[in-house]
Amino acid sequence: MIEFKNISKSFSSKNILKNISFNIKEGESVAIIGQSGEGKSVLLKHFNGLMMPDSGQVIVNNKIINKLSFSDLQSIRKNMSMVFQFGALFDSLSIKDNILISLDNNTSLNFEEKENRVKESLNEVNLSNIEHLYPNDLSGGMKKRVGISRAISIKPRYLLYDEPTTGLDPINTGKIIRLMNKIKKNKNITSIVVTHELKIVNEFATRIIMLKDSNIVFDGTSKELNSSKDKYIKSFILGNE
Amino acid sequence: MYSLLKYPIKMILSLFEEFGRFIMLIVNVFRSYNSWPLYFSNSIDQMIIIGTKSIPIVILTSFFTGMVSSVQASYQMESSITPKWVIGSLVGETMLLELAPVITCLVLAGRIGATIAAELGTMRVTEQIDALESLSLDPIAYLVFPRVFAGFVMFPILIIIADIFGISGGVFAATSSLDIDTYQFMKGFKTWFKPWDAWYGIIKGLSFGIAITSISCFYGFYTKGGAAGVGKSTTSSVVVSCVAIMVLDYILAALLL
Repeated sequence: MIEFKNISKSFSSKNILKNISFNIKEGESVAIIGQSGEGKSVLLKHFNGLMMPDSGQVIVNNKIINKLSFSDLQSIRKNMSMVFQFGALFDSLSIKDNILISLDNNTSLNFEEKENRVKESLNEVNLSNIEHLYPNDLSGGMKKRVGISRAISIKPRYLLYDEPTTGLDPINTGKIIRLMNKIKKNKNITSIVVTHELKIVNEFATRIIMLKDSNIVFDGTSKELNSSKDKYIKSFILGNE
Repeated sequence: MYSLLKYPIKMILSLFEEFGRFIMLIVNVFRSYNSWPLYFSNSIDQMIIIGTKSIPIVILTSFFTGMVSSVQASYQMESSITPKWVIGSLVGETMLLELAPVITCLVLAGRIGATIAAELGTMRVTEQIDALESLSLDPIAYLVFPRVFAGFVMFPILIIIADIFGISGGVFAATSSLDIDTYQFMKGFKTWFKPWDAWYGIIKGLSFGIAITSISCFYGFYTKGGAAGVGKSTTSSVVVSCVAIMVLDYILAALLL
């Protein structure tokens, strides 16, 4: 279970998150939505300690992660993978090495097992025979899928997605969402996704958290979101001002 | 009055803040010593990038610097009664003590400093550094240590190469256009030569190498913003590295000579 207790974060006197509190249970698929600049990605980076709150506590499996040493934090991260907005693949490494670097640090597999795991995790995202290529040889959609492949290769308990469909055409967006659903179903992973994409909200998430003005303004299911009478939520869904 | 002082005070405070963050980065490099052996292969890669690939530019720069100092030394002594072999002494000493380490490191501040800052800066703005951290790697041990270590190992070697080719350039200019033969030049060189002078140049190269690589890593690692941020970091790393070379040059001269 992940608990956020009174999390506040500000950058140069601008409040991004103000006293945010919520819990995420094992197996949930949570979408964090909101307008650009509302602090969704900042909130996501608090889950694995890439950002630390100014005040409050982030508790993962009963450990307060903003009070852990670097090595203890690393052990939390071994169970929590992150898929970045544009893949964040390492340009100087081949696709295979991009996945191996994750396996080397987070698993105790032997050489052969690692080789097999690379192939297996690439097959999982419907990519094969691209191990020898470099990130620059791939399209945006493929980079995102390799990013997902790298994230699932260590078989994490928690999977964080930062805007996984941004910049993709509708066909690739559909592919990514189907992939996310497949991973959720097959691996029983707790997923947290930051997104603007209503398709993810409706087709993937079991719970929606909406941020506005540094606070949570909605926490419920997609059905409840779609039937909300709130003016702001309605305008967000319909794309009106 | 307050608004007049506001800008310089803010600038001084941000300078101190930046220096503090730089010191913290260096402290964190040492704190990550447990991970150093894991990334030794990265250090080898960086030694090739920083060291081996810089050899051509070091040879070219030092050879021409040696030639110019030979021609200028001869010009200074045109009407004097000083024997011509003194040119060998002047070229040898200026190359070993000052020109080889300083000119080489100023050139390398541009080549290596810009490369490191741009590479790490791009990694920062494309979230590759965040990705490293999320994969349980220590980004400082993985990215900063190999570059600083490679600078520590390779810069003294580059300075030795610069010394050799700088003096060779001096000999070449002297023998080809200044009517001095190699024997006279080398006689002059040996007359004033002290082994400590060569060591002094190497110590300078070592210090400049650590300064250039650590300053560039600092600016690259803490890049903010997109492409404009990478450009700003790259420029800052080159400018600050060049200033650091000049400041260290004086400090080392005052301490060691």
